[in-house]
Amino acid sequence: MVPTDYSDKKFLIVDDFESFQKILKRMLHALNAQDIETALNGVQAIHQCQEHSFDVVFCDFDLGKGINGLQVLEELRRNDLLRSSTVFIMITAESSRDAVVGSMEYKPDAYLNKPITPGELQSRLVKCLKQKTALEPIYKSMDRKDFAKAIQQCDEEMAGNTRHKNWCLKTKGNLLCRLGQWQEAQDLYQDVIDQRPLFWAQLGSAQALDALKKSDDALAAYQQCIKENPSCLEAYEGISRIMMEKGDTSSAQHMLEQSSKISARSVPRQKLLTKVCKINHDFEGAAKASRSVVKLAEYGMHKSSDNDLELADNLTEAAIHTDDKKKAKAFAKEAIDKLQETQKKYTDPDIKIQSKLIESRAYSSIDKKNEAQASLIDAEKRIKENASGNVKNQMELVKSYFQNGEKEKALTILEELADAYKDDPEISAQLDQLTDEPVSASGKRKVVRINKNGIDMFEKGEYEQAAQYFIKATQHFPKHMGIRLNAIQALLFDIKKNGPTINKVTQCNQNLSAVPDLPDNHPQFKRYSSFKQSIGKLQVLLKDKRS
Amino acid sequence: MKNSDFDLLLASCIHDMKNALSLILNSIDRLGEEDISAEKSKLFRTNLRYEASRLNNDLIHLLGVYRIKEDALPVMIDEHEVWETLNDQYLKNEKLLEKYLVNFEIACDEDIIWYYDSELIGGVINNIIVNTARYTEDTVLVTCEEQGDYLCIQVCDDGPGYPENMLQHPDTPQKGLDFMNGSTSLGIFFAAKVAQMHNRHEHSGYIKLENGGPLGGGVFSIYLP
Repeated sequence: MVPTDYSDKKFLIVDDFESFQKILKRMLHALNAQDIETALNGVQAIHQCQEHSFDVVFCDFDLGKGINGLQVLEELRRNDLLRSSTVFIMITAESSRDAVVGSMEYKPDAYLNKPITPGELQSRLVKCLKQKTALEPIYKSMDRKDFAKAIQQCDEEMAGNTRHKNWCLKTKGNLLCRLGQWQEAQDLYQDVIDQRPLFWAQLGSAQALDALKKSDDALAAYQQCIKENPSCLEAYEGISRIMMEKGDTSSAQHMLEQSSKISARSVPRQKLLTKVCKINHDFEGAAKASRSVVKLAEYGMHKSSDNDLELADNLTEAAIHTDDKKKAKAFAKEAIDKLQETQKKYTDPDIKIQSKLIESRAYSSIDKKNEAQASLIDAEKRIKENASGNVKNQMELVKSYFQNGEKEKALTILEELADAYKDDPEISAQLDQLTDEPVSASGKRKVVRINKNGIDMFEKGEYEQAAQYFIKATQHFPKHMGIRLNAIQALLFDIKKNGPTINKVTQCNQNLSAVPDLPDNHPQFKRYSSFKQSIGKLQVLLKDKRS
Repeated sequence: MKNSDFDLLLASCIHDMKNALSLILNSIDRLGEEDISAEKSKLFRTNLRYEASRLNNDLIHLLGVYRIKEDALPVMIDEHEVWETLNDQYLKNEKLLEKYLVNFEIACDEDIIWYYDSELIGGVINNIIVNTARYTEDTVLVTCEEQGDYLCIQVCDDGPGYPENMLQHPDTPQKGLDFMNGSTSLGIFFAAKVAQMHNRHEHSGYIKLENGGPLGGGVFSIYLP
C-alpha cells in the first residue's frame, strides 16, 4: 500500500469506551497522525465539531445511553457542522446492521466493522480521502448550496470515464429532490431501477412519487422498500404520512409504531407519533411516546420544558379518558410528579403557570377536587401578577376551567381569545380544538362547509369518501360531536356496503370514544346509542371471524 | 427454510462453537505454562486467533441464518469495487494468514465494479478465507472475473479439498455432520442463501464447490447476477 502520512490532518474519535478510543488512537499514531481529539458521547462530539473543523471523524454507532452515531451524523449535517470534505466513518458491530441499513437519508462516507485491523483502517482512509479529492468541486458547490451547479458538475463527471458514476447518480437524484424537481428525480430513479433494483433508487423513487402526489404509486413503492428492507424507517414514515393525508390516522399510527419498534431514538419521530396518537384519542399511546421524547431529550438536543409539560398533559389526558381507576391513579400520579419536578427545574413564570394548570387537571382527573381547585387558584393568581398575556397560559386556563366544570368562564376567555387572534390562523385553529363548537369565525365557516361537503358525498352514496373526509376533519375539530357522529355514520354505511374490516371498525371505535357519554335527553342521544349498538355488534362479528 | 433444517444447523453450530471454546481455553492454559517454548507459544497464539475468528463467524452466520428464516435479513444491493471488498477481507485476516505462513493472492482487475451487498458478500468471503487458511497447504488464491451476466468470485486453495457430501449438495445442511467441518458447512449454507438473495431480472445468485482448480485443492465459487 502507498505509504501515507496524516500528520497534517485533524481527527476526531467518538466512542463511549475509552479503551477503544485508545486502540484507534494507537492505529492512527502509527500512520503519523498527530492531531487527534476524542469525545465520549454524541453531545460531546457535536460540541467538538462546533469548536473545530475536522478532516476525519470516526464515530461508533452505539454510544451507550444517549443518541447513537447515526443521530450524531444527522445533527451534524442538519446544523451544517461538517464540511462536505470531512470524512465521516461509522464504526459498527454486527448488531447495529439494522439501524445502519435503516436510514438512507444520512449516510456516512464509509463503515468499519469491529473488530478493526490497522490495514482496514488505512484502506478506508485512503479510499475516502481519494474520493473527496476527486469530487472536490462538486462537494464545494454543495457546501455553497449551489445545487444547480452541483448537478451540472455531476453530469460532467458522468460524461467522462469515471469510477464515481454511482455516487454521481445518487447525489444528482438527491439534489433534484432538494430543488423540488421531483419529476426529473423520479425519471432518474426509474432509469436506475430499470437497470438494477438498487435500494437507494427504489426509496428515492417512492419519495419522489410521494412528492408528486401520486399517492397510490408511492404507497406501492414504499411497501416494496419495506419488503426488501424491513428496517427502512423512511418508508414507514412515508406510508404514515400518506395515510394521514388519506384520513386513515389509525393506519398512520400503526406504521409509526412499527418504525419506533425498529428505532425509538428519534425525537422528531416520537413527537409525530405523540401527535397522531392524540388525533386517534389514544392518550396512553401519546403518553408513552412523549415519555420517550423526555427521556431522549435528557441526553442533549431538543431539551425543553415544553417536552415535560407535554408529557404531563398527555398523562393527565390518559388519566381522564381511562375507565380503569387504578390506571388513572397511576397516570395522574406520574403527571403530578413530573409537574412538581418541572416547577423546581424552571424559574420561568409562564412555565410555572402552565404547570400548575395541568396539575389542577391531573388532580381533577382522580376526583381530588380541593387540590385541583388550589392549583387552579394558584395559577390564576400568578397569571394576574405576571400579566404576560402569554396565549399558551390562556389556553391551558381554558382547558382547566372545562375540566373543573367552570364552562362559562372557559367560554368567556375562549371568545375573547378568538376575537384577539382572529387574524392568526394557527392560533385560531388551536382555539377551535379546545371546545366542541369552534369559536373562531373561520372555524365556524369551516365546520359548516365540512358538514355540507361530507353530507353531499354521503347522499351520493360515496360512503367511503365521506368517511375519510369527516375523519380528516376531526384532526382540526377533535371535540366536534357532529363531525364525529357523521364520520361514524359514513363508516357504518360503508361497512354495510363493502363489508367490515378491522381497520374500519377501529376507526368507528376511535370516533365513538371521542364523543362524551350523552345524557338521554340530549338531542343526539338516539343516534349516538344506535351507533354504539351497531359498533358493538360489528366487534363481536369480527372477533368470531378471527377465532 | 424448514424448521428441521434450522434445528440441525443450530445443533451443529453450537457443537462447533463449544469445540472452538474448548480449544481457546486449552490454548490459554498452555500459554500460561512456565516452560513453554517460544515456538509453541507462537503456535498457541495462532490457534487462539483462528478459533476466535471462527467463533465470530459462527455467531454471524447463526444470526444471519436465523434472520433469513424469519425473513428479516435486509439485502442492500449497491455498487462496489470488487477488488476493495476482497482486499478488505484480506486485511481483516492479515495476521492469521501471516501466522499460518499462507501466501495470499488476489487476482482481480481493480476496475471491476459490481452490484451486491458488500457486508454480506464480504462476510461470506471472509468466512471462506478463514477456513481455507486453516486447511490449505500454503497458498490461497482469490480470483474474480465477469462471466456474461454474472460476476464470479472464487477462493482456491491447495489443501485436501471439500469432502464428497458437501460437493454434492452445498446448499442443504448436512445430515450426520462431520463435526470437525461443522462451521464450514454452516458457512457454506449461509453463503448459498446470501447468493440466492441477489437477484437481477430473471437471474439469481448461486454458489458452487469443486475440487481441483488452479491450485489442485478446494474451489469455492460464488456467482452474482
